[in-house]
Amino acid sequence: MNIEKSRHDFYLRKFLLIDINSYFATLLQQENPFLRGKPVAIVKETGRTCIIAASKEAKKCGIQTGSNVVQARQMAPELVVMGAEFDLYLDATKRLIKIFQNVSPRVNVYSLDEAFVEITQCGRLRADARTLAQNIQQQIQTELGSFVTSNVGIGPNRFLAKMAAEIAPKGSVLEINQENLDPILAQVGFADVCGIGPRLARKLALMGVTHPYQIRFYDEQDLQPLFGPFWSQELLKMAYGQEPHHLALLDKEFVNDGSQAGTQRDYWRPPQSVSRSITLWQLADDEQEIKQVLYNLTREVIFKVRKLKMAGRRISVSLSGSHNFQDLFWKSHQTLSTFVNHTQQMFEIVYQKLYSTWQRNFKPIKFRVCLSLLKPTKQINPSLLPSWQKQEAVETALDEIAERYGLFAVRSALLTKEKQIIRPEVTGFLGDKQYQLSK
Amino acid sequence: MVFVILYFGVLFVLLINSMYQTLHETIRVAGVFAHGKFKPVWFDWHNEQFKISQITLISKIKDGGRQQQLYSIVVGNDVFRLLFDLQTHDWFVEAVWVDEGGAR
Repeated sequence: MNIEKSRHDFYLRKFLLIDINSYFATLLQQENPFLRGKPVAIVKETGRTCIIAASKEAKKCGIQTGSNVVQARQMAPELVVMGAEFDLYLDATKRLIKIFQNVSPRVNVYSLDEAFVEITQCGRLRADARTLAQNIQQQIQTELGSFVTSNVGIGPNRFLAKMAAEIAPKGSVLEINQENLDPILAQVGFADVCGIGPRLARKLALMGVTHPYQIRFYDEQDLQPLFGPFWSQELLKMAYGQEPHHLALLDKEFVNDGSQAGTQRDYWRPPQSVSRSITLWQLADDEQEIKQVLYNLTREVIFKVRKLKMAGRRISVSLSGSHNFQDLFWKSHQTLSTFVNHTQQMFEIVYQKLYSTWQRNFKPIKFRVCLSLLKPTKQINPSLLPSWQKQEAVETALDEIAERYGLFAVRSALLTKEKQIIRPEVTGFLGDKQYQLSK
Repeated sequence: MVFVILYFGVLFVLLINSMYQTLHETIRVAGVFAHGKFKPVWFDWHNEQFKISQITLISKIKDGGRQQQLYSIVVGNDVFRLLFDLQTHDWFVEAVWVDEGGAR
């Protein structure tokens, strides 16, 4: 791989990465002035113990994502623990995306609180990148409130834009360019490098490598025995500040159909799968409860798939749990010759064909249901079978009711207990963004 | 015995979370329209009028396709969430902030 050769077009593109500081906690502090200035920890829902986000004040006390509530309270006795408010976060994210799309049509929503904005072609219309970044910061505060601050990283690719946002002081703008690239790569720790996780960092540390720049002292042949052919190339790319594969893939999120001559527009690529998982409060050993959970998750998956006007033909189920203090996992899938977008049809496969083959050798706590190999329904010939058409009429009616009164306003007799219903939620990494951001 | 005390100790630590107490009670709201947006000014709840001193956040939330607008507001030393159902046009006082197991 000739890294130097590919450097000539290195600075032709320009990206911003906007990262809202301590998003989940900051938004709740914006909402509630009595939380401002206090250490706030966010858990998935009230009563859970794993902290999924911490406020700036909590981070100063040493509390991090993944900390335990009990340990965190020892570090900060005045800690306020709150359940996540995913509805509020999702709405705020949608408003942020509108701000970003006013700057450029090429926006990659990377997670609920991070987005890449490519400004390569905005040069003639807009001010310089730094002024543009500061304008965006101001617009965010106008839209969401003055307590919501953000970091903006500017770089010739997404990798460096993200690195700049990670190392910039809170609420500021930092650009990585030709002048400061090498000094930054020589100083930055792997915790701030997107693509190098703790395991890879530990492996590199064994070689005495603690900064990306140091990887340049090795060639591909030295790295291959330790990291394999893929990762040795990826590491070398990152050592020179080039975009690794997983970030370069974001370009594929756009489908440029060129339908309007002269005004080519970018569209988000349709999703290839829709899944839903849930971790229960305790290990499930009641057969009826397991059936309810699987039906509940299936209903949500189908609702989302239909909303996207798609159907899929690979159905998969996975369970994880424990037995005798050992973590255990089971999964199964079936690929069909026809497409499915009916709850009852999918549930029959999930429960009777897949789940029924499970040996029941542990009590599950985490459930996942997935429908993949999706295709737009307009590209699929509808079945002529009367039973299918009947089911389609039922699903269409259910869609309309859900649209008007909520997803579980009308539900199967399996889900009679209101309190046990698992309702749709959005995750921090926004895995189902095409659905969540479709409206 | 030690384990029992530890268990309840941990449980107590978990239970003293600050949180919003759900109310979901119908209210009357008065406000003004400005720049194409509605701004609540006061609301009637249990025959008492509450004057809104600050709107801290406005969020659109949805359940299925049902859309609602959530206003996070400050009244004196209290924080409320007011919910407006965009379909039925009903107003609710949805939740009130309670700190460390008791109302402020």
